[in-house]
Amino acid sequence: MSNLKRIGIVLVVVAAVALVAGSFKGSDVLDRAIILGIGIDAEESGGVMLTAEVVAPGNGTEQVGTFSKTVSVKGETVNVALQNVAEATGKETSLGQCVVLVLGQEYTETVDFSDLIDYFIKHHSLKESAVICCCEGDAKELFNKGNALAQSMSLAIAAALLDQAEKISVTNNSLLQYARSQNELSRTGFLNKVAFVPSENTDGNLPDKEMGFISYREMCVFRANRYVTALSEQDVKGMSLFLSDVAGETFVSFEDTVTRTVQVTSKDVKLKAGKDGIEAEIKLTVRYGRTDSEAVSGPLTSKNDKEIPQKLLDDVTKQAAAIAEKYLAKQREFNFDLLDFHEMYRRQEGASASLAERPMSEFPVRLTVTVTES
Amino acid sequence: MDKNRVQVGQLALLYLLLVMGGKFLTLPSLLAGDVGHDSWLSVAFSFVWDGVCLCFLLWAIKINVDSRMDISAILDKSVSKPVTKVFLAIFFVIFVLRTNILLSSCYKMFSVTFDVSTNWIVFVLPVAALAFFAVAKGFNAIARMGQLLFGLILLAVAALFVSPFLEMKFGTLLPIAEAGWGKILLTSYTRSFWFSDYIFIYFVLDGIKVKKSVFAPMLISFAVGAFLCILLNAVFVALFGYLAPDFDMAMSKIGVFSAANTANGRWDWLTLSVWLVSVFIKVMVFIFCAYKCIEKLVGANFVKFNWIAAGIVLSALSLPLFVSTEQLLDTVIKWGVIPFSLVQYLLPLLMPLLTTVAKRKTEAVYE
Repeated sequence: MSNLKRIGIVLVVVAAVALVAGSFKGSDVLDRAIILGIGIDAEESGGVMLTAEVVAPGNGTEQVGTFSKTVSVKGETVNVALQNVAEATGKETSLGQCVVLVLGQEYTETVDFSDLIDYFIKHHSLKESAVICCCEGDAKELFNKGNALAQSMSLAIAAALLDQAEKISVTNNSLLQYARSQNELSRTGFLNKVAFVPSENTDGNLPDKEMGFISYREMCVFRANRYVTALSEQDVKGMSLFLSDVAGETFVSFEDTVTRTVQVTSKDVKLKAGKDGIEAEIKLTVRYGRTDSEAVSGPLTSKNDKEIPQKLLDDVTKQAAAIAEKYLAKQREFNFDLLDFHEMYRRQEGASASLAERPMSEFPVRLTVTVTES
Repeated sequence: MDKNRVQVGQLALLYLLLVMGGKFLTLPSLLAGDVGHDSWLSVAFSFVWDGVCLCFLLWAIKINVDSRMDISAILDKSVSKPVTKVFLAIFFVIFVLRTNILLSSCYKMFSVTFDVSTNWIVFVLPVAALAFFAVAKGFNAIARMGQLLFGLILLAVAALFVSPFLEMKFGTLLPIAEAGWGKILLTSYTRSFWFSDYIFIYFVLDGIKVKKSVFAPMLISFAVGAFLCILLNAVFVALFGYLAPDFDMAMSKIGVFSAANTANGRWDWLTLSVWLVSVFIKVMVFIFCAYKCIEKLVGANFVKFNWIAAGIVLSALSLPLFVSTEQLLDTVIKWGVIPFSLVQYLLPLLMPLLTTVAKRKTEAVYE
């Protein structure tokens, strides 16, 4: 091959690469409003108030540490509001890194938000594994408490619900799980309820700075994206007793002048759907509540000396059975199904309209609770 | 043709990549729309037919080891030249359509998942350039590339797949065959366009180096690929339930729940990008086969790279500029299932017989 031909080929390849590379429209990370979390509140005129926590990358001259800001905009729909975020930030909005969706209290209690869920679940960029929850008061207010937490509110909520909740007897929900719950069988599901709890400021340097933490021990129940009822901390604890992947329930026992706390380290839950109803068998493994000790348990762990008296175990059994029954009564009263009773029958009978419409009162539960020491 | 010769091991690895390469895009959502949570059964049935046909095709390879005839030679000598042309024309249409569907899915994935958009021509050109480079270098170039990238791609699939699989509740797939066995079987036939990945073997029949067994490596690859595809379909429908028909990018959606998934960050994009290489390898193989179809249709053996044949294939890849993927699925592919079945399912069953006939005729001529 002559040198001239080689040079010609190189030039053609360079031109082709330049043409192709130039035609792909990617966008610089600094040109994008990367949203970490979205809050949705009801707007008086209809529509929504959308609060977005947006990453604000430093450019070398900015103070290190301040890395996100919140932007609140109104819109007739979420899509319009997100476009307004783009206008407000001067950058194209990106939901690829969004980890949490928070729905404000008034919004969830007054609006049928099916369109909103449909929009987000079918959004191409937003992860279906994103956390979705509701909050006490306005989502906008909650997002603006990020400084009080000294960290991103979105990341704090996501970390709490994804990493911590299952250790403190609270189950959580992803956007996908919630969307499915509102459209399949009983069409009921839950959202964790997040609230900001102020705490005393002990920082002498910043005496006026607000401080606090987030609480997420309550839930709200929805049917077809409409509010049904709220679940108290005790209700949530009762519900979690039926979930084998959730642990950390604590029980306090008073005997004479001694108060003892035991904690559930693991559980074995068997739910069986039969003709006469549901058989629920809950086996709790507990130990004395202690801080900073690893709560490892299960069939493959080494045996410890027993130290919890049988009387205390019996007391815990009674307490656990009582809160589990109370939760079941609430399910029947408000006719919601967070324990997938309908799903258990679907697996036997197949999906049908009659099954979906069966009220919870038609699923009597025979409950057995046993408590052993780990 | 010597440069096109591939070892059975290479062919087996490439075949595995091809089996996994295109079935994790739009197919799971289409199947979920047809038969809901029973889609994995439909996939399983499709693979049963594929397995039977593959065995016959491998038998034909074994018969053809010494004579090393290519597909057009076998068909010319056994069924006549006009019939050969018809078969090759059908092959060409299948390869072009499958390439277009695969590229459309990748195009959409780049656009919506990675948020990188461009026009169709600029998207297709680099892929086609790579494919034609492989055509010029011979099939062995593609096979070696598959061999090199195989481990990496399999790791990416595992990274995307293991975590959702472990968390999957298999009970959601019950009751089995809720959609009805008839409907499941019919779906596996109407969606057969996405299967029978062994059809590329027709175009390398004359270039396979057989040292030991043909059956063992190929069938192991097939079994692994089929198992992974069935499993992925099961995971997909179990995970997404009623939403499964709406999510036409199965792998990118499952990737969201992958092992590397954390509250923040998108590691799934990295593993997804690696897996996409297998789709591009599949596209390259199909473009190679489409090019070979033209070569055999015009009855010439392109000693050097033929720009006209490449131009025809490239023109066919501009189809999505005029017809949407949905229109293609609803029209050409829907009605093409029967003629496609001729080369996908009937021809492999006849291949041992046809190869034997062709071989005898060749030997008779020499005698």
